[in-house]
Amino acid sequence: MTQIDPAPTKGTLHLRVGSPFDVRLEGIAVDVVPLRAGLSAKHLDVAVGQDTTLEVEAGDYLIEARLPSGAVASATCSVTPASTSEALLPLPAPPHEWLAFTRLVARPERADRRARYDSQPWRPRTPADVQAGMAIVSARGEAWACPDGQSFVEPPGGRGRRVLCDLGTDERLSSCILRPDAGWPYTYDEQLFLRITPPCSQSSLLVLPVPWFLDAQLAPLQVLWTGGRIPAVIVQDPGVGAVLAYLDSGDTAAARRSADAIADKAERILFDKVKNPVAAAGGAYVLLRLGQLAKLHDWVGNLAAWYPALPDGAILRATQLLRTSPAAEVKEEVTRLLVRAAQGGYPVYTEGVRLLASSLRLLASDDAPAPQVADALKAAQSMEAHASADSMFTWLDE
Amino acid sequence: MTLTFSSPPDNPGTHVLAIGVGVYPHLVGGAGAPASDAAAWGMKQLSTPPGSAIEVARWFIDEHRNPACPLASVELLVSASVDAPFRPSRGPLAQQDVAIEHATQQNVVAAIKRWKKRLDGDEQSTGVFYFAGHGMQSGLSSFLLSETFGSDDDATMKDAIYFTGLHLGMERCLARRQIFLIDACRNAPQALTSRVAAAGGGAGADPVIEPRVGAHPSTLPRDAPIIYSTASEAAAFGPAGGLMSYFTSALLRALRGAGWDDGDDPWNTWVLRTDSLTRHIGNLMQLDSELHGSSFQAPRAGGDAQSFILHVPPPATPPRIPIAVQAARSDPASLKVTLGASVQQMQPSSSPWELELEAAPGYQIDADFADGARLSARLSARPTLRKATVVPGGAT
Repeated sequence: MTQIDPAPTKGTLHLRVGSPFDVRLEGIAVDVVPLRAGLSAKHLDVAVGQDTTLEVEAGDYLIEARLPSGAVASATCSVTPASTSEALLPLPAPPHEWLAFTRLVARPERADRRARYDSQPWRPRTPADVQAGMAIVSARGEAWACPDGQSFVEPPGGRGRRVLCDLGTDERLSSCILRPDAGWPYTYDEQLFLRITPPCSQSSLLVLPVPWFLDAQLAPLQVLWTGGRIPAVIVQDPGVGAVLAYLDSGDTAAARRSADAIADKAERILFDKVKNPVAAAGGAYVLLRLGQLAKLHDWVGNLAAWYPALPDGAILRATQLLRTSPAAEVKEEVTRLLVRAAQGGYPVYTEGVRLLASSLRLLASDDAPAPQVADALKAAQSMEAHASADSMFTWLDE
Repeated sequence: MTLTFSSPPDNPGTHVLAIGVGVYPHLVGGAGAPASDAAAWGMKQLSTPPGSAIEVARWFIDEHRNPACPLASVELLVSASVDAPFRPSRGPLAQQDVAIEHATQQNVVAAIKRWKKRLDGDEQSTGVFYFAGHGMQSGLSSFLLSETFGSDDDATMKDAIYFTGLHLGMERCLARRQIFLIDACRNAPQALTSRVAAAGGGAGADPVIEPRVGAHPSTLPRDAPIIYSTASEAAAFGPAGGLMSYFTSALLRALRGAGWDDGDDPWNTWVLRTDSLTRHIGNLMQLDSELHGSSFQAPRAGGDAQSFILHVPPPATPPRIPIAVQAARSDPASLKVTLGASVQQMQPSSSPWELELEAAPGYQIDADFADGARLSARLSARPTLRKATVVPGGAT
């Protein structure tokens, strides 16, 4: 008897989201959509510049990569049985290499168009305009001017901190890249701020998400503004950047398409809290937003205990307790955490400011709130009143 | 009470509250005694919120479909310069003229409480809150201004809803799925925001459903997205003298198909999910801005949200997708759109061309110019929108 193998119906698809520059970004949502009904779509989580291989039924496919910036790269591809097909999704080239990462996670054009309608638009015309209003300010109120675009800023007091302000402009946008020096002995006991004072306008303070460690190195931060009042702050972290940016842009569908992957990634970021506690707090906020409370484990408790100068840890732990435990059992602990957070500086993330104020408001609504809740709520409401809702990192009007 | 649609409340259902405030007697141009700071605030009468709220209510009554959570109630409050009755197409009041209550502070507060009470009937119900009118943002706090805003100089925010508090307080509602659609400016004048910032928190505005510690009526997590029509501290726009805002126009197009999703069964089973709605609305508004020069505004998402299905179109109802086709040359061309054996021929006009095509793969688009040149493109029409550039030889 002769056995006849059935003809193969599947083929292999190699796909690659390609950038003209050497840039890494994980967590890109890719849809592989068959161009006829009856076949299944596939939803992937891929990295820019890396090959991804999958097996699909033979047929024609539309492949779309949705970037956190909102841009879409697409290609069509025919897959034939028992063969391999290639699909390259080219990303648009930014005008400068230093914008390669930024253009993946942010869409400055949108902000730029919006800025035309701001009641008090601020458009720095030259780098000099920008530099004139920049300073680095510590939580203790010490300020260091940033005299020119290529200078190291040496803070007084010999604590060894320095920040390189690297200003650049093109026709559309202005940018400041903060590159903490690798030898920076950060002790987690003090927050750093970037102050920007636009001409003829009130100044604002950005809570810098530092130190942001990436592979044991300090990652650069980019502050990007296009004339709007609120700049985009971008952490050039290929593992975390997309997760935060999808949620910041409101494209939670992209996050949901690879929800498990993103939640797993956020869980891993939180697990690695010792390597990067600031990123861990961001990962925990993502898990809260996605409703993945179980993936917080007791790690946010560790974040709160080990890094008391990072108010986000205490806020996250208090939020976790409020959402998962009977209020009567945890009220005392939640009160302690939130009061400490309100008195301990500014949360790095705007989400932290929101949760701090709303959780304290909940405590204040209790029949018998602890006496210190009122003062803590007042402080939180002050932060809430001066924070910018559209900034991922806390950005406060002074 | 202006309940324009209701059905028996014993099952999970979708409960809609739509509010449109175009008339503010105490603001600039209003018929009442002006607030003492009205001129400094500069906020005027609005033309688009009444029509926007009515059209949203009408869409839910006429077109909303969700077998797991069918439409159960639609309550409508409208403050317009001319009162007009609302005639629902179906329900107990079908084809009857229903008088619509004004969106005064008292009426809005009462309507929100009734809406919450209806949603307390079933954990699986869905709440839809739509507001169009003046709004403001102070820091992270959002406020919605009712018709009577400015009536009390000693308590400015008394006639405003403290929306941030309302959203938080709705955690106490049994229904776990709630969506909040806010079509309002978020850039109130400094004279007003500074007063609010100084007061802190709700600044005297009413959250209506105040948050309470430990008040979780359900063990299910709440899925409660907010879609703001514009970015923080930015204005929301509508066409001058128009009847619908740019945001609500885009929202309705998204609800009618441009925002549908077929992720689980491509080209075949369509649903509208909440988590992609902000992106779809934003893309439609951007297209409007590019093609028609309308003021650009970027909608923003907020709230703790995962994803739920708001609308399930009838089977075999592919959506219609807006398509923008561009050519390198601007002289008029006749456009031919081919899909299989189906051919649509359009009158000569200039690039860019704005089309609306049924969702399908493999459209061939040919632009034939007077000098005999032909530029072509191939594209797949999928939500939200597609942009195609016609070129010699017809590359995709």
